[in-house]
Amino acid sequence: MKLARVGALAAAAVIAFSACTTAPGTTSAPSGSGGTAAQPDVCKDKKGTSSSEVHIYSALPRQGSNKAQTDAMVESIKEIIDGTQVGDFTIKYTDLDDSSAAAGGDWDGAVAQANATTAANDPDAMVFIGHFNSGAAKLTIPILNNACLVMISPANTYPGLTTAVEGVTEPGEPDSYYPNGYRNYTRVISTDNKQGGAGAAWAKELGATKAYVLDDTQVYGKGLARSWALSAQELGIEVISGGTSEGFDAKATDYNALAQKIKDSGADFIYIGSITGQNTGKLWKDLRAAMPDIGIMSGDGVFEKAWYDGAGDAGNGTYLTFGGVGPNEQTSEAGKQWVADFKEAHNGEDPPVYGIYGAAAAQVAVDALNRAAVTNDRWEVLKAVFETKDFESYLGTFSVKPDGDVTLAEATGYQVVDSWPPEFEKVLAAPD
Amino acid sequence: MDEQILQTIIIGLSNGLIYALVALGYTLVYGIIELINFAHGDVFMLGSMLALTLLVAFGVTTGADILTTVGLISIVLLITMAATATLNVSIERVAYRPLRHAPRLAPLISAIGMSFVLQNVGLLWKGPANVGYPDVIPNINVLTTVFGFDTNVSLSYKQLFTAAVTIPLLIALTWFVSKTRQGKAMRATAQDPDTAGLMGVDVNRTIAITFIIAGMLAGAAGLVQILYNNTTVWNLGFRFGLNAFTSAVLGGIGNLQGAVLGGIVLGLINAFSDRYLSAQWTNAIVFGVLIAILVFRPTGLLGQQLADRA
Amino acid sequence: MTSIIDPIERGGSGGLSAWVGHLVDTVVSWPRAYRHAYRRAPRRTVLLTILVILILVYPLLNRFLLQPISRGFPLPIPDDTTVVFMLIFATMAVGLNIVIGFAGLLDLGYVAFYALGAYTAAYLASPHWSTLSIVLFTDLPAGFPGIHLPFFIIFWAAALVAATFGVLLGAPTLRLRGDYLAIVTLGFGEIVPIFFKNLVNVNFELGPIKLVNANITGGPLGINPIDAPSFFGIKFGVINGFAPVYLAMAVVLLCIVIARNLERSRMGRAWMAIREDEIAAEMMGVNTVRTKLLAFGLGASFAGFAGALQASYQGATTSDFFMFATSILVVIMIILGGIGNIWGVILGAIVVQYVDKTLLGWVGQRLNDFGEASGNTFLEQINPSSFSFLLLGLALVAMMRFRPEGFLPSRQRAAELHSAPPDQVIASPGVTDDVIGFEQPLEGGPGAAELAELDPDAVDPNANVGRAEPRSGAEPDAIDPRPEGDR
Repeated sequence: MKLARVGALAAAAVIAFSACTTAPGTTSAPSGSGGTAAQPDVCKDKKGTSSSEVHIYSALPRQGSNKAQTDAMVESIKEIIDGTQVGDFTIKYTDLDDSSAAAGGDWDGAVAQANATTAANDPDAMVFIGHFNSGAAKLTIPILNNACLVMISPANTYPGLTTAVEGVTEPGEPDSYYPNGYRNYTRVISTDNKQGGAGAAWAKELGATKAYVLDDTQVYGKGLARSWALSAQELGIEVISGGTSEGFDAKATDYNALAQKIKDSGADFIYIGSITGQNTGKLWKDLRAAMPDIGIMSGDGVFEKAWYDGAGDAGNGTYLTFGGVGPNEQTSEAGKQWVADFKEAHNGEDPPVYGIYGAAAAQVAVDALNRAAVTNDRWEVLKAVFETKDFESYLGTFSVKPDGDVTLAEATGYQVVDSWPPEFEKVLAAPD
Repeated sequence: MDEQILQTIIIGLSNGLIYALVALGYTLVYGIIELINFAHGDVFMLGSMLALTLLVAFGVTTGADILTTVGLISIVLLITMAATATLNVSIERVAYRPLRHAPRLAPLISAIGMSFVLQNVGLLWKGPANVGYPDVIPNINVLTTVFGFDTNVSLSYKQLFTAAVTIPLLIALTWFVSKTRQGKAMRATAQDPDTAGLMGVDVNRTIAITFIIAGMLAGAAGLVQILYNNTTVWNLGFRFGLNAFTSAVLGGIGNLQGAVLGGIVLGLINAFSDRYLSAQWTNAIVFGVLIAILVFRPTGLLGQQLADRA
Repeated sequence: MTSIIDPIERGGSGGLSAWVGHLVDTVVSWPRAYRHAYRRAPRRTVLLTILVILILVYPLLNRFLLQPISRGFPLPIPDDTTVVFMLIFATMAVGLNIVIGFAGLLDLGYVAFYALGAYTAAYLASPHWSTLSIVLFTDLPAGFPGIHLPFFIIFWAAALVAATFGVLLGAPTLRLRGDYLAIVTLGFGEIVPIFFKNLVNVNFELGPIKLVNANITGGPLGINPIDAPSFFGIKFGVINGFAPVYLAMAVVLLCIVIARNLERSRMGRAWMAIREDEIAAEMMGVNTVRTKLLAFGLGASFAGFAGALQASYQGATTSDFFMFATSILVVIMIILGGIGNIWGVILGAIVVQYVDKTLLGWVGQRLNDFGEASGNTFLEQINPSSFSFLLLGLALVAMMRFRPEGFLPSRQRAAELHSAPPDQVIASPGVTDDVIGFEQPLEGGPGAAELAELDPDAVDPNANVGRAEPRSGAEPDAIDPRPEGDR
């Protein structure tokens, strides 16, 4: 075998240049060791220098198509965190922007890493809230892992950041993000594969038999569409968009021919994995024009008013899933209060769906700082975050699991009925 | 013919006509001052935003009686065309005319700068997401409802509308360029601005008029776009601009009929690629065609005409 | 002083050994050249020396002095990641400057070569090909999945791949007129990221080739993680603080040395001859297609360097990093900095990155704080970063009109751009004069060229007397926007 020879060559080479450090992607890294494991070397001496302040940073796309979402999140984070007293310390909050004009107002890898470096280099930084996009988190988790700084994401739904999922995540994930072997990343939202699975089950209930799956060729959209398609196939729905999902080009000027193709294929259901900014208004209009009665389902990437403004009437009838519980369906008293407060401050406007998740991330941070044995020691704060148990947040009660995911697993289903916001249909059972 | 193929052709043709309207603006300007006016697509984008704003302001909605609707749309068309023409000629005055004698690169860079400025104006004006507009022209299949054919092929009023606007504009433009005195001045300037100047043509005025015409076409295309595609967004100019410029090159830049033919061919390529290949590869195919055309037939399908200086 | 002799002339057709010898000579002759420069212009030399030292200690200064100060009193200081990206973009600016500034070929799809470099690096130093295991000269255990080659190999491989694609694209298209070339490159810049984005879960069958659900490029997820550059056990990844800044500085220095030498070579003069007047150049015996192709390929190879640095430094690469806006950003950098002048384009890259990534954000935060303190909601909400492309667009238009030669112009370009009145346009180009102008540096004798070795064109008006003087007078053809054949 050729491979064996190559391997032998490689072995020889390695003997010549003996190994001394571990590399990213080391397969032997322990997984899910959370905060309870022994203190890693990088976490020693991570005590802040200020005697009166600890710092919390957030890094979210503050421009571009997600601005409405992040405005609500930052507003809420600020209110919960900024100036709050934890032990002997006052929290100082800094709102960083991980997007750039060069990236068309979306997240920019270099900027996201600069944000993370800024926080990592500030010895008083104890918690990093972010990012909005999983793609950005993939780049910054290792930086913060090296600095022993805990990251709490309000919105990342890509499963590979915390768990390996067959057919969806890449080989080596998630360990490749944690070069020092311990976990420093958690999120207060459930993942795409759960939302996709719940959505597929709902579609089955709605009578879908032959589905055409589209994605926006982005990390989130493609991942969600693929999860949905794989679950749908398991449930016996035929997926006829070659393989799993077909990409649509956000730069295209129209989708009439694509719509025609779907119509001719005989599909009775369409699933779209996309974020609003990917020309979704036009896509919906063209699909609806060709197929006025077909069922269309999409995920929380388009669960915002901006999408409906773009799609207009063509958005009516669309089933929307949300990988969590939408603001108006919050069951906890605190959650209801949060929504009521937001509406009062914004002339009765409904909060964007992720707003309350930003607030919950901030709550987890403050709670951990309060519980930490040493308020301004990164390792102690990290441990406290991972020890979050039965925590009563705006999102209801949850615990943080050792792999960084939370015990919140619900997804909810909505349907757009002639106006925004969409009407709540049901809580979707997420498959395991 | 196979109904599916026919349907794809109809879709391709109606898109192609909109590309053609934008492409004419590129081809006119390139023909006369050899400048790829990068900002042209963004003028078109602002035109579509203005048209949208006016349509909403005038209350043009579905269900109004047809005369009122047609009247109001005509008024919106005139205002939009006047506005984009003014914008385009102002851009020429500010960003291109001072660079008339600079190296070629200078006005091109200036055009790219202008394009970014206009995109950001659109972004600030309407925000980052698509802005939708309801179907005013009914999206009803003419073939089955009016002619009573028994077919699955759909040809809507909207699609007829794009043809009804584009084809008369093209005829008027061809007439203007080939028959009028001003058109003659344009052709003379295109061939050799210095000699044209010596022969008594006011070169600056002629170029300004070219920009006015190109701006008017962009405005008209903006309105057609908002009524046909029912949506606009700040980076629409970039999307359409690339397609439209490709159309212009495809047909032979500087050649008016060529731009229309190029637009139609490109519309068809787009539609067939979306329909029979995969939508995610369409842009790659379009640019592949563009590169192939430039390599194998740099003068385009119909050759360069307005300015014959390949 | 051997360094003044054109390596290509010395080595006949210019073999690799001649180049290496030339580079060694250049390095060896530095102390002597420095003494020369000091004797001639002591103040300027001292100032430049201080500047160089400041640049060299900046990362340390930043880490140990500026950052701690900044904590109590925020300063608009770029952090290490931003500095590395300034240098990555400086690398690209130097490369694109060869294409646009030296040879006058407008490339609007330069990002394609950056992407090709980044993906080459990613393929050669990541677990992406997890069914293979090729581990060479790295500190990974044998049998580790994927291909893992050291940085000094992937760095050159990335440049080679980018240059190859540059030549492949250029060969059929470089005979096109300038703005057609711009469009072709723009198209290429759009196509390459589409391929990187779409080639995942590929099902394909053609004869013996059969792919089932093949993952070729990682799709929208890109390739992650990629090994950090490592020399003698020291790593230079994004998690390694300021160390990578020095690696990036070394890369930029290498690019400067290569570009400076190219500029002074016979090839450099041929490029400029083509830029000024292609037909005249051809008449004087310049093989225009080959010359342009070399500019294109060499320019692309610099983007390959930048791509390798990006991928290895960030530890990940995805097609989202390679957009049309990035191509334009590099063009903006070289225009603002001073097209044709290496120091100018580097300055452009640094300034544009600084304003976009650091300054606007800092100004925004100060405004927001001020707004919050004074209860002004407009100031509290404003985000100047989102206006950066508006500002850059305005800057481009304004620069073209009022200072087209950029901040640190090459004097030659400045002379062209501040053109003679239009009535001279039709005057005869005087082909022979023009080309003799380019031969001047050779005839200028060793003294002038030797001194020029260390001197940025822009700063010292005497360094390139021989070359510059003929340009300031009648500059017939550069003024005319159209190439000779079009009239």
